[in-house]
Amino acid sequence: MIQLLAESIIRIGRPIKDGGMPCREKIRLLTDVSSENCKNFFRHVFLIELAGGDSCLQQLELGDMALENNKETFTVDSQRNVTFPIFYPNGGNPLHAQGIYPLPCYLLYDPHLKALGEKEQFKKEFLSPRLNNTLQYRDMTLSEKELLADQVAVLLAAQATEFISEDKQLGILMIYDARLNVFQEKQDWMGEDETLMWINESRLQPGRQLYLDGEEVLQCINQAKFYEAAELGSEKNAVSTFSNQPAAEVVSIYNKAWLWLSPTWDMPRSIYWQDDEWTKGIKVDAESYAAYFYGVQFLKEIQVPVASAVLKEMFAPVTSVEAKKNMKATSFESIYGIPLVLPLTDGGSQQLFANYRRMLKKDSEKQSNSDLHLKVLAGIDRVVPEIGDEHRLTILYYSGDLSRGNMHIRAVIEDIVPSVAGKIEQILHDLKVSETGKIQLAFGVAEQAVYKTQTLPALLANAFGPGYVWETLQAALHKEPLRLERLRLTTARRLNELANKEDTWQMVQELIFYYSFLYFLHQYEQKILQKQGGVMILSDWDEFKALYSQGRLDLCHLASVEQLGFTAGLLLRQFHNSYYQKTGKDFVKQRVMKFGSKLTPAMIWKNGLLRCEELAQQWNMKLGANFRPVLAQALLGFLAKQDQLVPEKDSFMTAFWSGYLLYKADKKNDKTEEDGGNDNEQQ
Amino acid sequence: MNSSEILFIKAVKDGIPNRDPLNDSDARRLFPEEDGRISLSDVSIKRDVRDFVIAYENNGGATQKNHIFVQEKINDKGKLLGRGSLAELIARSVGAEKQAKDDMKSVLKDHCFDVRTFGIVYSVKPKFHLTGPVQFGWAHSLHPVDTQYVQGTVVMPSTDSNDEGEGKTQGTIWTSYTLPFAVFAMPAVINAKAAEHSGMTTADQELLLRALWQGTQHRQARGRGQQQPLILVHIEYNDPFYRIGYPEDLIAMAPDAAAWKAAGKQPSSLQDVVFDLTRLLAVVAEKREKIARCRIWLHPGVKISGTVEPFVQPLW
Repeated sequence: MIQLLAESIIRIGRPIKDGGMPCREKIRLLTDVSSENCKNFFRHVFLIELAGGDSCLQQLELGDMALENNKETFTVDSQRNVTFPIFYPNGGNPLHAQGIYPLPCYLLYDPHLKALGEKEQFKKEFLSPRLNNTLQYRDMTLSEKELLADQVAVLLAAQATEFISEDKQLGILMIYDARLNVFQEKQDWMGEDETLMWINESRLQPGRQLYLDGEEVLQCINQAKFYEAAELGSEKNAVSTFSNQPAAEVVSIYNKAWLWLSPTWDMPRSIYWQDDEWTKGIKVDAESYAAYFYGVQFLKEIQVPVASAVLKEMFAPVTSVEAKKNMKATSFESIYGIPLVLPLTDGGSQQLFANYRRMLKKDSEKQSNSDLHLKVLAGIDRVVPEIGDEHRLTILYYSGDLSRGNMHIRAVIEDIVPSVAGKIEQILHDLKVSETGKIQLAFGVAEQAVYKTQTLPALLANAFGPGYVWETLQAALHKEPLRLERLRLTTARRLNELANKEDTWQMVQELIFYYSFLYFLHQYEQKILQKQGGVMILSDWDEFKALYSQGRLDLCHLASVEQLGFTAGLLLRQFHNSYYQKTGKDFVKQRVMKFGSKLTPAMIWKNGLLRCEELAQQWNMKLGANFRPVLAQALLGFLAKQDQLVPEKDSFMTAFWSGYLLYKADKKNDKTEEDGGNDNEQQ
Repeated sequence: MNSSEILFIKAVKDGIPNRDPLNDSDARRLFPEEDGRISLSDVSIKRDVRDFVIAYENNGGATQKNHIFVQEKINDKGKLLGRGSLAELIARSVGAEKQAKDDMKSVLKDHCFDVRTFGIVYSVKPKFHLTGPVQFGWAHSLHPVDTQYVQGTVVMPSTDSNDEGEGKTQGTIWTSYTLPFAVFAMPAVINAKAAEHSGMTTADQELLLRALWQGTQHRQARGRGQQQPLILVHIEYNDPFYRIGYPEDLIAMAPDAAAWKAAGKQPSSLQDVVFDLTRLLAVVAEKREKIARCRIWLHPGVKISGTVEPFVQPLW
C-alpha cells in the first residue's frame, strides 16, 4: 500500500520535475517561501556578503506593511521571496538545526536574534550546527567552517544588534559566499532572467549585482533532501524499488522531515532493523526521490478539506430527521481530499505537466465541459483539467494532522475512469438544473436548490447512511450496481417519524430527495451500466396517475408492492379529502394510525381502505367516480400481495406517501361521471 | 497441551460493543450494504480477557504467573507507562530485574498470561517477538443489524453558574448510536506448537476460557451495551496439525436472516432465537478419532436445538 502510494507520488512528481516549469515556480513549490507561517521572517533579512577576505552586512525588508481590518499585516514581496529558499520546520525544536540545508540560508527565531550580540554563544548554538549541516559546505574542513562562523558572528555582533528591538522578531540569515556556485555576481542588471534571481546590489563592490542561480539551487535542494532521507538508511550500488535499476546510492523513502510517510511511529519497520536500516523496506534512487519530493509538495498544495457542510451530509445519521437537524456542521473531524491523476502508461509527461500546473493554479471554475469538478463528484473543491481515459483518477481521503505524521487514511478510491466520472457529473448536473425543479413542481412546492443532492458523497450518504459512504462512493465511481433497499429503509423511517409529527412540508422534502436519487439511479443505470428498465422515477407515475383518475387502474397495473402502495396513497388521499370536507377531521390521523404507533401497510389496508365504503355510506360522502373501481382493484391487490407487505414494507410505505402527497383531483374526469363530486375534493 | 479450536458466541443489548472510530461511532461494518451485518475485532475480545485476568489474578496472582503486559498503567506523575516501563515494572514486581536486563523475553513469558497466550511484539531493545498460540478471528453478527441513533440530556451543567447567574445553567445533550440486540460469533484457534514456544500451559488455556466467559460479563458500560456470553465451544485435538476449521459456519441461528426479513423485524432478545449446533456436533462425532475432548458452556437462557448434554460443562 505504502509502496503503491509512493510510486503514484513519484509518477505525479516526475512530469512536474522534468516539465517546463520555470525554476522560480519550482523553488516556490519545493520550499516554504510562500507559506503563511513564514511571512514575518521576511521582515528582517540579514544578507552577509563574503568575498575574498572582505565582508559586509546588509539588512533588507522584503515586503510592505499594510493596514487590513485595522490591523497591520506584513505582505511579502512575492517576486523576491524565492531568492531566499527557506524550509519551515515541521515538529522538533525549531531553535535547533534541523535536516540538511541546501545553501547557507537559515531561519532566525526571536531567541536567535536576541542572541546576536553574544558572538561566541551565537556561533556555538546557531552558526556552527547549521554550517555543518549545509550541503554547500559539505567538503569544507572543520577549521574552514570555524573561520567562516567566526567571520559571520563578528560581523553580526558588531552591526546587527542595532536592528534588534524589544518586540518579538523573526528573520532570515543568508550568507552570500562568493566561493559557492549557487551565487553569481554580475556587472549588469539581468532583469527578470529565467534562472538568475536577483538578491541585491553588492555593498562590497557597489554597482555590481548579486544573483542566485536557480538551477543550482534546485539541484542543491534535491540533493539535500536525498541526504536527509539517507539518515534513516542508505546503501551503495543497490537496486531501486521504483526504477528496478541499479543505482550508485539508494536511500530510505521515510524521513522525519517529510509530511508523507514520516515514521513518527515504527509501524512499517520490522523490529529487527536498526534505526538507520529503513532501506530494507523501500529503496529509492536519487532521481525517483527528487520526483517523490516534487510529488509530495504538489499534493500538499492541491489538497483541500471537504467542506463542513458536505461532511454533515456525509456523516449525520440518516434514519432520524431530528438527530440530523441537531448535528452541527462543526461536529465532524476534518477530512482532506487529494486527487491524484496518473496516466495508464508512462509518457506524455508534457501534457500531464500542463494539467498539473492548472491544478496548481487552483481554478475553482471549469474551463471546459470536459473538466471534472471534484466538488460535485468527491466533495473537494478542485477542478481536474480535461483528461482522457488513458488516465486514471485516484482520490485519497484522510483525516488527522499530517504535520505530526498522524494521518488516518479514510478511503482511497483508485482507478476512476475519467469518462465515467464525467458522465456521473453530467447526471448530477442535469438533476440539479432540470430534474429537481420538475420534482418540486409535481409536489407543488417552490423550486429551490436541494443541498443534499448537489454532490455525489452527500447524495449517496443521505440514501445509504454514514456507514456506507465510502463503499457506495467507490461503487458508483467504479461502475458497480447500486442498490435501493437502504434508500427505501432510510426514507421510510424518516417519513414515518415526520408523519407522526404531521410535518407534511418536511415529508415532501424527503420525497423530493427520494425521487432525485431515483432519477440519479435511473440515469446511472442507463448511461453508465447500459441497463434498460430498472427503477421507477417520478415521471413514470404520471401515466399511472392518469389511469387512476380515469378509474381505469387494473389489477395488472398493481404488479409490484410499490405500485400497490402508490395506489393506496392516491386512494387514501382522495378519500381523506372528501372525509375532511364532511367531518373536518384528518382521516389518516383519526382512523388509520393508532395512537403513538407507526403506520404500516396492514393498517393502511385494514384500518383505511377496507373501511372507506362503510364510512362513505355512513357520512353520505360523494366520491369521485374513479374511486370505487380502483378501490376494488386495490383491495384485490392487497389480497394477492399480502405475503410481501411485511418484507417489502419500506418500498410500500415510500410509495404510499408518494401517492398520498402527489394526489391531485382531476376535475376534468370528475365532471363526466354521474355522481362526481369534484368540489368535495379540496381541503 | 493440545491444539484446539474455540467458538465463542455472545450477545449484546442496547449498545455497540465495537465502534467504528472513523465514522462517527457507528458500528463497524465490514460487510456490504445488502448484507447488513456488523463486526467486532479480536482486539476488543482480548481486552475483555486481559481486564478479567487483571481483576481476577490481582498483581500476577499467588504464583506470580499471571501478570498482564498490555494494559493502561499510569505512573506517579499521571503519565501513561510505555512498553519498556511496563515490562520493567513486571520484572521488578517478580524480583527478576537482573534477569530482565539480559533476557526480558523469559521474564515476560514466565510471568505474563497475555504474553504466553496472545504473543508479544517487544520493540524495546533488545527486541523480540513471539507469535501467540491463541489467535482470534473477527466476530461477525449472526444476523443483519441496524443501529439506532438516540439522544438524551445530562442534567448536570458542564460548568458552575457564577453569582451573576451567567455561565451554563442547563445540562447538555448527549447523542449516541446504539443497537437493541445482536448476537456475535467469534472463532479462535490454539496452536500447540506455538504454545511450546510461548510457554502457554493447560492452566493458561483454562484461565482463558474462564476469562472469555467471565470477562465478557465483567465488562459492562452503557456505550458497549449489556454483554452476555451465550455459548463457548472448545474442541481439543489429538493431532496437533488437525483442525475442523470455520466452526462458526457450522452453527446456525434460527430464525435465519431471510425469516427475519420476511417478518419485517430483527431479533430483540435471547427469547427470540434458537441456536442449532447439530452440524457442528455431527462433525465432532464424525472426526472423533482426531478429537481429544469437546466441551461446551451454555448460558441457561439459551435455547439449543441438537443434543449437547454430553458436552455441557458447569459454568464458572
